[in-house]
Amino acid sequence: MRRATWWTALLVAVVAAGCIPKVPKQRLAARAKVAVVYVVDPSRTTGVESPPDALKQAVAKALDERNLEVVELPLDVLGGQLLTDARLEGVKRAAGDAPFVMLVEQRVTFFSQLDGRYRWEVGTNLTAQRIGGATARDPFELPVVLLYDHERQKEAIAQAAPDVATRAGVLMDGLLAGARELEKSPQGNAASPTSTTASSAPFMPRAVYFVMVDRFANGDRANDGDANPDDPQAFHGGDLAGLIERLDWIEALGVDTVWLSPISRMRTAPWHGYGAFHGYWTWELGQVEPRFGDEAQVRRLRAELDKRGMKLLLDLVLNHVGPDAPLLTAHPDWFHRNGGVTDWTDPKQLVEYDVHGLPDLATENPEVYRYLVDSTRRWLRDREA
Amino acid sequence: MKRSLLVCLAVSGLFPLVAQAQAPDSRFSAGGYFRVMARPDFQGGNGRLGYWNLYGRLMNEGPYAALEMKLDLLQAPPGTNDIWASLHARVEGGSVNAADPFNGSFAFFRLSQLYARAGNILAPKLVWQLGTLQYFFGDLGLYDMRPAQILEDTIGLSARYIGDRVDVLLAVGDSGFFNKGTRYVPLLTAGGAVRVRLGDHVELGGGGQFAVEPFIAGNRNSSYVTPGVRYEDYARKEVLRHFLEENPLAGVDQFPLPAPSGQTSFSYRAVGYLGFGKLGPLRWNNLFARFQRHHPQTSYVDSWQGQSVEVYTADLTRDRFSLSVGNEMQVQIVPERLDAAWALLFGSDRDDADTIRASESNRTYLSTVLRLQLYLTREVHILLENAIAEERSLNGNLFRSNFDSIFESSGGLPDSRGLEYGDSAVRRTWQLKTGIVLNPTGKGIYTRPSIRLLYGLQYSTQHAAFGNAFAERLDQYDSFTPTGTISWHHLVSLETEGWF
Repeated sequence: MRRATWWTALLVAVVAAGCIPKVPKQRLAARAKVAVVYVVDPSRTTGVESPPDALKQAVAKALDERNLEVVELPLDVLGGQLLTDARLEGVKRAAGDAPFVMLVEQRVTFFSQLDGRYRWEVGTNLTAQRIGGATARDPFELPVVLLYDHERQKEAIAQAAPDVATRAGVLMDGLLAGARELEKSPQGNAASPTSTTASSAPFMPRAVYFVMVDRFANGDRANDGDANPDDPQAFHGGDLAGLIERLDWIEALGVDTVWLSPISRMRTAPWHGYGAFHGYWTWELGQVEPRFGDEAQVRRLRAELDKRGMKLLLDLVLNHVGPDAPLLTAHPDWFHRNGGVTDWTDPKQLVEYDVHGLPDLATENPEVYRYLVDSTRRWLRDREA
Repeated sequence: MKRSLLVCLAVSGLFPLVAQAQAPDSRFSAGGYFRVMARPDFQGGNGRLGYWNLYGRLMNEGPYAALEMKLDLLQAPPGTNDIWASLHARVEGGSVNAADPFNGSFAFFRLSQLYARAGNILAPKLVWQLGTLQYFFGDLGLYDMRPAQILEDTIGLSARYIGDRVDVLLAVGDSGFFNKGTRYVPLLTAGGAVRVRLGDHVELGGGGQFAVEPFIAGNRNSSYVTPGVRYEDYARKEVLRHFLEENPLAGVDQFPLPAPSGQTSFSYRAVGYLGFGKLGPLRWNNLFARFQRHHPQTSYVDSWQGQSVEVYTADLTRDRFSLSVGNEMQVQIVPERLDAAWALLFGSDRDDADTIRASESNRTYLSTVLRLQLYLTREVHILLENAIAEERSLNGNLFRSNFDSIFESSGGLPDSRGLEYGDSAVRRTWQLKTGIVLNPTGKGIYTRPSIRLLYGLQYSTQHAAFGNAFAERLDQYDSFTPTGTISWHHLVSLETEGWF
């Protein structure tokens, strides 16, 4: 039992690690503003200052390609704040009618003289937000090798500018993807910061309780099917009804967020001797697995959580589908079909090859992307994006 | 079960990132350098176009790799003058599997740097460094040489004030292990440097180091002298032979005992630097100079007819000097289309005690290298480099101009006793390199990483002037069919290089 548990945990972890969304490059249909503040945080030898124009131009170009117009705000809108979240609030307050904001924080540190060169490290923290909506972050460090001693922080940032701008663009792609969906929805328009229903304050969970739905509680024996609690690889009968019954117990733990293992319609038969109960072998993202309940029970769960002031996290598998998923025959061109990953150090394989034989979705295909977004957003209707 | 899953998923990075406090500053980081190449040589060479970097480093260097690691032991709050501390270690060496005869052997790598740094102790902006102390003013990138470098041979303590306009470095330590190796004696070394930035266009620098070897009576590695040794016997390594010939009744045990040298052994180095640029098309110009007095050699083993003695040579090797002056400028000829780097290097090596032996200890050399880089696109460039160099031996013929000059020396007479080698005191070399450069990160002569496909051509007044497998000794000469004089050498090179 213990061995099976670890194998399952490992498999789930590996599969989950592969669930990296690949957002295609976005471009807004209508031009929108993005309020940007650049700040170079102090290092050992310098105080706060503004980065060189090379960075600002590179970022502006990257965002322009997405039909975003940069409106640079002065440093003092940050009000001397040091923490990113507090700074972001300052940017939002000064953003005017811009529906997007971006904060570019950088710190440059000297590494050493290295084989005739001067190596620096440019740490960057990109934070972007659709006002009233989602927030995206990308903290990273880039090595920069300069030729001369007199080249310091500004030259280091200038040299790192193309990479920083590329990542700023990719970060915005994620937000824009969501914004474009809203543009098409009757509820709102991404260019209007007042159109969404979400609170502007980001929710930070106090404690998260992860529920492996099949293993947690069996509240409805009618949907058990061939469940067999004596077989570690079989379904054990857990479902949403059982979870709802035990919400008071979860709440008593001090938890304010419940994270469900995938509840989408899934493969239910074992595969290569391993059970399917974990839910990461999705067959249809937009449907609820009948063994776990139905959409009415999802709504009921949602309502019960709301009553307790708790949040719900749904685990959606976006990287692949389960073995023998109907999508494989219905849309054979939605998959990479490159075979399994053989080199776990090869980034291309990690993105475009099958993880342990699980058919890899070609998420760069707009049709696939649309399917994933639609299937995901249906769970978010009338909810925060 | 649930806990296991939670841990696995958390490790997998599925949890949303906690809000960042400003920009990241890693506690541990690593960087380095590498170059590796494939250069099949169909002319009997070892894959290098010429002998050394005097003709430009391009295609004259072999593979190399370096990895430096930094660990912040104590990170000060940014923007404060609080104390901070870090550790640095660098491993580097010149062997890569399948790229050189040693196939990546770790025997060719070394821990070249290991030091701890701490800042803001006793005074703000003051950085203390304990360990290895290498410091240089800059690099002649076309030659991969750093004439204005100090303290790379010293382990000890330095204090460096890093200001906005002025940097000052003072250091003390020991260069005994670097200079003497297993014949270690302490070489007390003190050095320093000053760098001044005058506006945005000019920098001046200067510095040096001085090392003195205290005499330690009874220490066989100290500055002793074997009495009565003639310089020519030392140069020919015939000290024991002549002693036994001149004292036929004596044995090795009567060989003169070493006596303390009456002179203090010391060495020094002075370096200078002038940098200027950001003026029109001139990006920057670096001028470096170094004058150095080398530390005396302790001893060597002299053998004759199966017997050996240690000959102490401190007084014979005191007066060895080197002067090196180099300049390199980077110029933007056509903005965004054509850049140039041009370098000049002059060197003069002197061993005042040696007036009879043709060697690299008594020579001058002069070289110039011009590299042009034309940007076809942001990433695809054309490289063209031209190098001309002359090396002149000051004590007779050092170079073989003809394939059969192994039999001859100056005046067409063989020097069977080995102080002259070859039939010319001058070696002149011309190298041309051209090819395609792929720079994924964009334009720039020194932008890296680079992937290069190059063709290199060398003409030299010396026969087969490249590392090769041709006959070098008289007893080999008849064993291999003589080839005739080889003045030209050419190579195709597929190589990559980068810092990271």
